[in-house]
Amino acid sequence: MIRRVKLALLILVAVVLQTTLLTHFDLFDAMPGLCMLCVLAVAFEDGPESGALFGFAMGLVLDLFLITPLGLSALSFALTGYAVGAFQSSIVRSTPWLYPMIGGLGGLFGGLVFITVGAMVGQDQLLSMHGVQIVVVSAVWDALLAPLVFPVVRRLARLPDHSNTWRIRG
Amino acid sequence: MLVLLVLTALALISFDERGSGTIDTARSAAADVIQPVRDVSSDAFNPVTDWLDGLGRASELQSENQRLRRELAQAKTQAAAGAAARARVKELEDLFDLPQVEDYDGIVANVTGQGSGFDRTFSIDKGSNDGIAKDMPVVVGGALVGRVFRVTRGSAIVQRIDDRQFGVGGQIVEQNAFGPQGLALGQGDSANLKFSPYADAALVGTIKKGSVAITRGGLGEAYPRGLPIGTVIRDVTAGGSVARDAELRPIVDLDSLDVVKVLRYTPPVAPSS
Repeated sequence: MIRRVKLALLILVAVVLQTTLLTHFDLFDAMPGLCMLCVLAVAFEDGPESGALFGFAMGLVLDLFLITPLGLSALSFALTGYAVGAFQSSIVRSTPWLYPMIGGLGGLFGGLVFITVGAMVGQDQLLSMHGVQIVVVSAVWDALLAPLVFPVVRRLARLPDHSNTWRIRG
Repeated sequence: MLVLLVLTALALISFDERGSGTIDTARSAAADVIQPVRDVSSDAFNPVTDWLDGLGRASELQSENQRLRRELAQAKTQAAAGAAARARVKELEDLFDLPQVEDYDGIVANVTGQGSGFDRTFSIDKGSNDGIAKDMPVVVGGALVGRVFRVTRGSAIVQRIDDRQFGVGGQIVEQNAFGPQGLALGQGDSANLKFSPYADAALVGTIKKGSVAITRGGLGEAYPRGLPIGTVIRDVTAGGSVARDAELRPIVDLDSLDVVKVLRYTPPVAPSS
């Protein structure tokens, strides 16, 4: 219960920061994807199902403040959360580059899903060179910020009996 | 579970694209719950964001300052020369009872956040409770900066004029005459707008640098006549049989908006025959 409240508050804080403070870190029209990083961190901590569910909820709240169709961010975040959660289960040891790598690749994957599905549902303007540029620069932002965001979010998302950070699933 | 989430998301997208009233209501209610937190955060972050904006643009601001000083001197000269003409125009407008931009009631609102990189939007802290409705024009100092895209009770999202899906009928105004009419379109990948004249090149001629594009107004137009949209940034000379597009720089910096005014403008309706 407490964990769910924490995750709900995390969604609120991330969306507020994403749509206020972080819009001023605009570089080539791209900004850090804090919401996406939170989804990646939760998926990394807790696996594909939690990653997909948390991603869906985060995306849905973020969609409230975008003019793209409701559900588009929810879909791309859910797919990305699931993919990163599934990828996490195959990792057996940590490296210093793990967080930036997951942040960068996860951001890239999520961004590409967003613009591709967006174009498929009538938002043609998303699938353009400019759209790809935004996705790539955002992914670089995500890679840079992942080492700061992941430890905090993973701590919040951790289950009470989940003392061991690293799990190997057969 | 992933399949269920994907199907739900696709259903939501589909309903929203078709303009579902239920989705709009739910979206509005949920946004109203979160908006107060965003407003407080926006106020709290203002000093930081102002500092950040200034930090990244120090040299740009310095050259902009010099350019503005030059333009101010030119404007003072032109204002003096144009005073008589303006008085005459005002006389004629009063005579024919033509509405002025200043005549429209406005709602002053604070900008509380910007959209993502994909959509050029910003949110404001006033909504339907304050009289704001979808599609109302949004101005800063009389210049058009966007239109109300979505409204909740306490907030609204404004689509900026440089958004790729924004378009408005306009007309070029040169120093002493009206120029061609056309369509001003946001480009999405640039802060500038594209102005496509309606007429062919022979009729359009040259569009001169420094000319201003204003909203065309009239029947079928969502905006009143006379709102400045942008300034032509380079001369465009006709070539071939089709008029070439001009590029417009918005009058105000759309990335640094703090306070805007939403005009309570109702587009004219054609009289029923």
